[in-house]
Amino acid sequence: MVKGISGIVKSLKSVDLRLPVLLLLVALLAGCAETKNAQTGPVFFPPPPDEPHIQYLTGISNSADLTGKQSIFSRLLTGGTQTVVRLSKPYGVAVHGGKIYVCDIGASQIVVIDMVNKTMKNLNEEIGAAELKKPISVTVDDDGYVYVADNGRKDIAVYDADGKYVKSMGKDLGTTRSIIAVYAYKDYLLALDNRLGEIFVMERKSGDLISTLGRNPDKSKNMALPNGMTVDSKGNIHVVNIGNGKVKEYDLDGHLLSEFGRMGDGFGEFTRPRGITVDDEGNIFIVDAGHQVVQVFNSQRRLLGFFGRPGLPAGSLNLPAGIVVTKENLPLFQKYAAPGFKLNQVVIVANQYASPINYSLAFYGMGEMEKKPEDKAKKEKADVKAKKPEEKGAAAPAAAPAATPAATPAAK
Amino acid sequence: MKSHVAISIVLTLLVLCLAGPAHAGSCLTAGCHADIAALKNPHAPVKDEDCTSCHTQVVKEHPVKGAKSFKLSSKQPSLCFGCHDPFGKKKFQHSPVKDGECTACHRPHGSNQPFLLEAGEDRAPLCLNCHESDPFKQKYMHGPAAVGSCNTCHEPHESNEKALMKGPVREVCLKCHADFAAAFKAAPVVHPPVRDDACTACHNPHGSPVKMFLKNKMPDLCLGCHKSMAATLAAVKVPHKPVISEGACANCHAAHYGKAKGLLAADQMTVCLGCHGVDNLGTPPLKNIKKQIEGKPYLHGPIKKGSCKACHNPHGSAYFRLLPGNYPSELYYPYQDGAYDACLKCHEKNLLRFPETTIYTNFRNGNRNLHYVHVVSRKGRTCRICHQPHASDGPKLINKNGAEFGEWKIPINFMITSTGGSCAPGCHRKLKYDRVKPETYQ
Repeated sequence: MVKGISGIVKSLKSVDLRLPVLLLLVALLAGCAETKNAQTGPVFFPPPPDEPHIQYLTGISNSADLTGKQSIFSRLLTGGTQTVVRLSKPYGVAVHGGKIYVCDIGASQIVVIDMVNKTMKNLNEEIGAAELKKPISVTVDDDGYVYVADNGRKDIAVYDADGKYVKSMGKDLGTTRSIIAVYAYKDYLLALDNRLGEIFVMERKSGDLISTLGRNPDKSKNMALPNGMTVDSKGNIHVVNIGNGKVKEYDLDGHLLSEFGRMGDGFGEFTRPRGITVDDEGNIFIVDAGHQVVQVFNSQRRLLGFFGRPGLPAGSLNLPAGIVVTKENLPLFQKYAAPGFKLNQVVIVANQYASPINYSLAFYGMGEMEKKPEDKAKKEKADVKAKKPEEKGAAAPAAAPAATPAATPAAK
Repeated sequence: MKSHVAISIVLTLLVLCLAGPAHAGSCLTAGCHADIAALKNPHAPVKDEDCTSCHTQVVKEHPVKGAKSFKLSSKQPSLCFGCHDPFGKKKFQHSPVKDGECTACHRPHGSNQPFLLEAGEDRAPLCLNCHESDPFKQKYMHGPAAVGSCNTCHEPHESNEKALMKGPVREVCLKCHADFAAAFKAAPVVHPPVRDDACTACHNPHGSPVKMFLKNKMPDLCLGCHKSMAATLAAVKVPHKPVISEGACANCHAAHYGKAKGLLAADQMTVCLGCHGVDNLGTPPLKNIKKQIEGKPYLHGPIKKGSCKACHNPHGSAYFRLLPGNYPSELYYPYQDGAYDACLKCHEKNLLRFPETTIYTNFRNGNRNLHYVHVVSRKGRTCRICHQPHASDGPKLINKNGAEFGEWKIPINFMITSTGGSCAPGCHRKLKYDRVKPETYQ
């Protein structure tokens, strides 16, 4: 794609048609951008009048979206051969060191997006063993090594922090090697095989297999067409299952710790669950490619809400796949937030297809509206009133607990 | 001629005597109003024998049998305000003042007591003529109310404060209780009502059937504000004795100010060990926890931080030993989900869930979870069989000289190696365990 457009531009050098053609392309691209940005105000989930918790912030489909005012052509002229113009068909997504790693199945590449320096480059462009075919999941370990599950290569390709190809892992695992998710956690690399319904736990440096999870004689404790995996900050593994709509939590020994969810089209139910991620507070975000939403559950597995439903003029999802949550570079994203909406983390969702209303990568900010001074004063007044009910001479009832239904305990 | 002159002089003198003040002198001295003359503290005009400043003669003859020859110059209170400053400039007036009935309290000619009152220092007989007397007949009385010194706190005529207080309630109280005022201002922790509110928030200023003339008995008085504590106490199945004993809250908390958080007299552990650090309190005596802790190199985490309440709810609990969750009262109790919540609230909650693990404990032979072996069996051994809950002289809160087992101190002889350890307890023969190279047991 890059070479193609570069070639057109170069070929135009010989004739003096370069400038008009460029202007025409600029006009066309500007038109696309206007469509996506056409909105009447901030897109909040849940929508008003409810208290907003998530705001759709922005999106990236190509390098122009990333660089803002800078046109796609200046990137072409200055970016060199590794500059990526457009995300083709993103799937898995990961964040590490302030950068976003995107599996681009269409381009057979891992695209590394540097939000700070506003660059968008392929991780590796070596020929031969390093080449990817169908990268579906990506993860980065604490040393910066990048692991890519590739459904075409049937292995896990490993690259160093500079993007240089290191080795292939996982070719000796199981029989099917349909690895659709990888996750680096501490010294381990976990690989999810969706056909076997098993998770391989490897020593990430040596690649040695430590254990295989999902072989419990009690089959109800095993996975059923697992379709997405993540590991939380405590080291527990969360897997979504397309076979039975359950989200299962395992420890690194493979013990089933909890499970929840079922197939269906109601709130908290799933049809085609895909990407999953867990934030530091234990909130679970699950992408559903059927409903085309992300459902958010708290650590007690209580549905908090959802965002990104289809059909919205902005902030909708289009065949979403990978998801990741990050607290990195928050100030960069805060500028997209509505006035007074303070972000505490950002959720990045990969749409497999960009459209006039969808970006390939959609950015949602989680946060809350800052209290206005008068609201604070009202609250303080209410607090004082609640604290000293007897002073008003009224037999005030004891402060009633918040009328929240008991959270459903995680199934044990 | 001489006789005419003499008659004229006598008549003139007689007229003068009848018309002028010289007539008053006769009121008190003529023996008719001797009772007024005998008063110890006469009203100033009486003292000056200036009867006509208040009384006006309406009939020439005096005295007249069956009729009055004098009337008041005007009605009270305007008569009184002729000399005294009028009231009504302040927000609240005493009811008789408002009604202009000065003589409801004051004797107009004088009294044997000060202020033309019939009552002396003890004003109770006067005030309780109108005011309800029950609050002043309580078992526990505030000093001024007990001696009828109503005017120590109240203005008799008018005030800008409710209840005719001499000033804002706190200020009135602290004028006498000056030592208390100085002490609480210097205290690190002060009960908010003491700092911000009137003392009458808790005390009845006159008297009450409750000690320290509190408005209600403890803990009910405290629970009036501490409503969440009321809910806690209502749910208590295992009470902490001080809470249900006389004194209740005050057995641990100071009511006014304290040295430590929670209005405690000292830090939490010192307060607790005040009772739980002796040998002879209660029947059977409470365990002396101070002895259990003193000099021990290994302390349970919360104790290391000086916290007893991390594990024991000082206000009572629904669980054994005031614990914050389930923990078996029986010595043997096979593990079930929830049965050991008190310990697993902090310790790894999956400790006892899986027979094999590489994650949740180091007490394992290979991957075999030896905690599981000990606790999740028919004879589930509770944590306290091996581990001391407060402190120990050996690692892992395991005492070197064993754990209490009835009258026997059962030895454990626990040893740790880099990859495992061993026990040679009074329970079984010496057994080793190793996480890397598992022992084979015969």
